[in-house]
Amino acid sequence: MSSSQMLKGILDGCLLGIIHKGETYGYEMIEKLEIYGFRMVSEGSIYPVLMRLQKDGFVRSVMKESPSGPKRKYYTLTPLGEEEYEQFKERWESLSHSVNRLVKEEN
Amino acid sequence: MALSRESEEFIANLRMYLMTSGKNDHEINEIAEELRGHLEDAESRGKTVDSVTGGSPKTYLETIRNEMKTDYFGLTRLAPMFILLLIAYFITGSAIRGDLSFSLLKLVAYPAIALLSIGAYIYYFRKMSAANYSTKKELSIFIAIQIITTLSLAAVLFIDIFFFEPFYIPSRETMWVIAALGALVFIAGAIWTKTWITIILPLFLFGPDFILQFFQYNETTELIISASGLYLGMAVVVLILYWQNKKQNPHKS
Repeated sequence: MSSSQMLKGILDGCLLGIIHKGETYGYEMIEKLEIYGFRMVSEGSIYPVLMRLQKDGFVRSVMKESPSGPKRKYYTLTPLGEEEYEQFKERWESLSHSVNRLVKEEN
Repeated sequence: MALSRESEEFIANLRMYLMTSGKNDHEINEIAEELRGHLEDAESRGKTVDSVTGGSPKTYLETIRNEMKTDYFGLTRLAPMFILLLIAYFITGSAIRGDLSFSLLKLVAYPAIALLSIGAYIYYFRKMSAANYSTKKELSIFIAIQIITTLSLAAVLFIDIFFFEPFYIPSRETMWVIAALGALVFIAGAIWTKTWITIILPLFLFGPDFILQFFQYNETTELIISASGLYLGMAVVVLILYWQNKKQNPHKS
């Protein structure tokens, strides 16, 4: 299983986490993800996820003209999104804990 | 900032693909704008369109499509005007020439052929926007559809003349009223779609026939004038579309 396949299931939560840190737009999210070491994300793959997050009511977006660059769509979390992010953190905590225990025991 | 030709093509294909998949115009614009912005940022940092699509535009377009709901309401909103235009294209010419008649065969076969051919166009437009066909292949597919449509229409006309009795032939006055209604539909269609094509095309299609009604020529001359008007019209439409396309996509040759 490749990293990008593994990431598929948790990219939603990671994007919630990035947006949780402050209003941001697609390209900037990619750059922020890269800073955290997510290099396996194909850049385009975040947009279908953003569409889904918006459809589910976790994020809201607004188009803004930027003085230098292109028109950008900025995303923020809704209260529902904040709640979802908290739940994601809990689920990740317990999942990563279990996976860690398993793989470390094997070594 | 201008995008590379590949990126412009990708955005145009995205729009075409989502449009022919029956998605909402507003949502299509939104994702197209967003991806354009992303591509501008990406290209200014030396990346290509592959960084967005991950190398497979087809898979990427499908993922986007699956996240958007199909706008059935938008489609049904288009239907009445679309059907009116279709009917107008079929009967206005005959009404002007004075040979309009209705038979059972025409009533069934014409709409069926029209729908099938439009279905084929939409199917291939969608397919082409996701796959990367050569211009030659695209052109031959459209020409093939056009030839099949024309041949089927001719076949129906032929069978109709020999085997079917019209059940209704309007009087000459009624035909002029029908022709005027047809013209009204074309004008309404142009205003409604905000395109000039539903005015220009009928003008060339039916204009020569209309003018010929006021002169006495022999049949061959009439046929030549009428046919050359049609082809001249198509050439003008294609040229204008080509120029418009060039103006909108300066990178596309």
